[in-house]
Amino acid sequence: MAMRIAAACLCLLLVGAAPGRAEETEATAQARDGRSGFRSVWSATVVGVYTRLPSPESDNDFAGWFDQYEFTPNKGSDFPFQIGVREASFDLFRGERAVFQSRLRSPSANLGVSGSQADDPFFNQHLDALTRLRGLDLDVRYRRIRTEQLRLFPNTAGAALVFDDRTRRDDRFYRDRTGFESELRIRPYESLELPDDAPGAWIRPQLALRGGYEDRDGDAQLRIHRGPSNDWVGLAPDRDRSVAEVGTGLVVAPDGLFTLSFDFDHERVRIDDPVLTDGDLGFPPPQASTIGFVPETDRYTGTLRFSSQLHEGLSIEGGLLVSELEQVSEYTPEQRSSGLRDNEVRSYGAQASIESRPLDDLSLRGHFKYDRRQNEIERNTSLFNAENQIDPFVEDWERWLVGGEAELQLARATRVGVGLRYEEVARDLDYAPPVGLRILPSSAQIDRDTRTVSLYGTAAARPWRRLRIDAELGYRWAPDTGYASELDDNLYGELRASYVLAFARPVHLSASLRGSTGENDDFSLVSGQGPVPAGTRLGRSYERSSFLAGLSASFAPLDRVSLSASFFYGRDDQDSNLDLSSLQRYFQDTVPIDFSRDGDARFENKQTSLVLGMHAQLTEATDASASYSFARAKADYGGSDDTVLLDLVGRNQRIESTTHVLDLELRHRLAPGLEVLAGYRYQDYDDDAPRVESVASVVAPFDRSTRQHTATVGVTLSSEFFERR
Amino acid sequence: MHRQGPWRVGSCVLLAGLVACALQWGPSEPEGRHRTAAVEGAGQRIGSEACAACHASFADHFAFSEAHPDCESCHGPGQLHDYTARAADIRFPSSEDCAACHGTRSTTLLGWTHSPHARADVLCSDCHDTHNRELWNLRPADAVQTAVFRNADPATQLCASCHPGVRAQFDLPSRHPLGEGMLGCTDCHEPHASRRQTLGAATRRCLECHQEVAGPWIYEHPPVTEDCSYCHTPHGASADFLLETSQPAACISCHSLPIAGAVHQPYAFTTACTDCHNAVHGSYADPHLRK
Repeated sequence: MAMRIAAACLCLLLVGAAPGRAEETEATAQARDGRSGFRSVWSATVVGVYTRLPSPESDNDFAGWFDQYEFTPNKGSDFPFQIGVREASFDLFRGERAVFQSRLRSPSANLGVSGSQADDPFFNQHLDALTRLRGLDLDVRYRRIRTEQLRLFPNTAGAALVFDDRTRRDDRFYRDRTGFESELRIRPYESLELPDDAPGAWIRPQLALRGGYEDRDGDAQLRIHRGPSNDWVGLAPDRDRSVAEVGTGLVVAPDGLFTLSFDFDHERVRIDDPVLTDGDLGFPPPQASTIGFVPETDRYTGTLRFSSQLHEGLSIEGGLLVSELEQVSEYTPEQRSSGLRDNEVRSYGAQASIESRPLDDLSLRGHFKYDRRQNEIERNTSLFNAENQIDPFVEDWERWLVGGEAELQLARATRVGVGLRYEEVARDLDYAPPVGLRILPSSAQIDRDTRTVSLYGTAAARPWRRLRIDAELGYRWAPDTGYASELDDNLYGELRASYVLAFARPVHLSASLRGSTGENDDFSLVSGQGPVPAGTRLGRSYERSSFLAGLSASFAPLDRVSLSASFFYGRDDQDSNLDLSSLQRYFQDTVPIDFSRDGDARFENKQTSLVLGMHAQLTEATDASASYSFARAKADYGGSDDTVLLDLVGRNQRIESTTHVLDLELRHRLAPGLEVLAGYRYQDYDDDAPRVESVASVVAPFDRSTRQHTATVGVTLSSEFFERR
Repeated sequence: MHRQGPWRVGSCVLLAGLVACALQWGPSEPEGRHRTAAVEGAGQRIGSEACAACHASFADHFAFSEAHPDCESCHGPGQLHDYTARAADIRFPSSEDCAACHGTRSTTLLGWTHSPHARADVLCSDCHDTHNRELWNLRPADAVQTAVFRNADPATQLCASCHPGVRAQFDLPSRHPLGEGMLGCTDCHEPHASRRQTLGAATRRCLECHQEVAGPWIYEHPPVTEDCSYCHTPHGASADFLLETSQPAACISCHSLPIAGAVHQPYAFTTACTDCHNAVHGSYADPHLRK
């Protein structure tokens, strides 16, 4: 109720203030002439939103497809509506200089929420506030967002589930983030209005102080496998945590010769929930093994960046980074019993770029980048004994990248260039003792080195006045690859073109094509169990080709009407052999399946998108706009000789969905400072892929397909106030 | 398996054609772009009031300050333009003009000269307009772009107007919620610098929001420590959780090895690898990343 009263008061305040604008028009001129008085400008758009969803998504306690991206509150009420402030702004000017600016945006925001969400209605609020005084800037950013997770389990209340779902049907799985970031920048030489020759003024220092805090609430849904009884348990543990950040920075630019920036930041992540273990859940028999643990951490990061225009045609910039991430505060039972406390990772980074123009038409560029990650965890504990180290352990990871480019300007806006890049990744891998079920170098799916050489050419041309073409074509060769899915032989390219059709009313066209094709036959493995005889060395191959092509057009058929359209089609094809694990799988502890193949398998992903837009100014006071978007995603997984099991896997992982969104809005200005709007939005998500709880279950999860109708009416009020002089 | 030969030949022919185009045809003034070079014979300063006589639509949007005291401080002398009324006779500020002041007052433009936007001839004024009162003087996207990305924040609408292919990815079933206004392009991207100039490994930008996968873990999944894009694509994807390749293909592209002597316990196989291995980013309890 308090929210509704507040909303009503806000509306009255806004309506009462609105007529002020007309009488201030003269004052606008006065203030502009004087350019020294204070002036404030504000606007607010108050909307009422009605949402209609089909069952079961119309239930407040049921997360529907679109709630993943935009939570819809109040949808379970008798009349599913919200009122709220969708946009608001307040600016304060001194003369013509903005000293304070703020923008509130809340696409789905919301007063007037009833039911279970009445106590917590303000989702999806974004506020930016900038203060600009002489020599002092203050930026504040506030965010509150909520996203939902669809149920992993069908939870059909009584159906024959394979899973032991301990969540309640009205449990919602969501993440709610509320927080702010702020930065204060102080330039004392400006604040004190020091002359340029004042002592110390020549370094032009700027000091920055940063702070931020974010509170994260939510419930996650976990699926935990229960070994002894061979089934899964569905849980809904709390995921409440907070992230706090503080930092400081200093920028100096001595006489404008160069700019040097030093920053230091500290981030604290704290978890508000106790450590969850198997024992807490009463797994038979009680154990103390941690479930879904996320560590509390402190991160310290220092960065140094510089930039300089050394002289005409020669510029350099670069930076250094050192960062440490360490676990603090809360430890798992396994850590305590093993005596492991310190767990930290240290990261280093450096990069530099230089650009030179030895000739007017020739540019030379070079760049360098280095990253390193050192895992500092103490490994002489029982957590890394022969029983539980299986995979190779990455103690140290380094990446080097160096490259150079030369670009020749043939004519205005016409350039060709060539570049060479070398990248190397070195992994310091530690393997477990060669006993039991351990991964050995001969059978590892990760290798020590990745080395890549890329040669590429670029071109930018404007052969005719109305045509512009940009292209890049490159070849990448990798003598060593670290993963089987890295390509050791890769051709890639990108082409963008834009053209203006010179009709009486010009049509702007643009086209783009981006593609890549390559393969990796660098990997081989020593086989073990399964249909392949042990000890046999098997060659693997992996091929991948992908492209995304698009065409866009914009056109103004009438003076006050503009249209746009864009169409994109993308495809990703992956082929591999030796594609599945030979680990034995079972259907519900009954039929053992040797889940292995040594043959070809393929993955195909196709994406199609169409976006249409229209804007029309119907009269001087009336605007109409409309848009329609269509997106289709289709992905298949299968093999050349599909087995029954592979067919099941492929069927359960198939993606076939279509999304339609239609959006209409009409705005009409009734008077200066008073505008009304009406909108309608239709969203339809159609999921054609069959889903089952498991291959051994007859229970189907809820259908993801849904459609949503949203109608909006609103009023925008705006006004200006002046300090009369 | 795919045949790659025709693709490669076609690509080489295409590049050769482009180079030939570039060599064959001469320069021309870009369509729709303003000149940033100084105007020869521009004449004397005429004062902002004279500019406002024709450019009345800007009268409500002048945002003069100490840095931008009048029209001609950025546009140069207007006498010739006042006489001819030709757009070619007035200059517009280049990015170097803006950087002369803004480049030394903040860290924002430290990497501008080497950024992809600068190298693609994008001007500051393509995204910023000192005449308006939006935050950071951001230029609003045109009305159609606003309509097709209505709930996105204004900066994101502006990005989408030049990057429609990226915009289209936010209609896919799995996506970061930019179209809903929850996030914006600049939450991840720095438009004044390049990805190459970002300090630290590729995961750093992702972990600024997703700290829960940062660890440090006891049992790690190596690709997670190197680059999130081994498995995820950031804009939009067909598969859940922004996976570039859906399961099981995403997993078995690496994990296809037969492990010597390994026998799974009789566990039910459900629908995805992560049904069991749900701690895929790292674990404190299980080297198999199952919890």
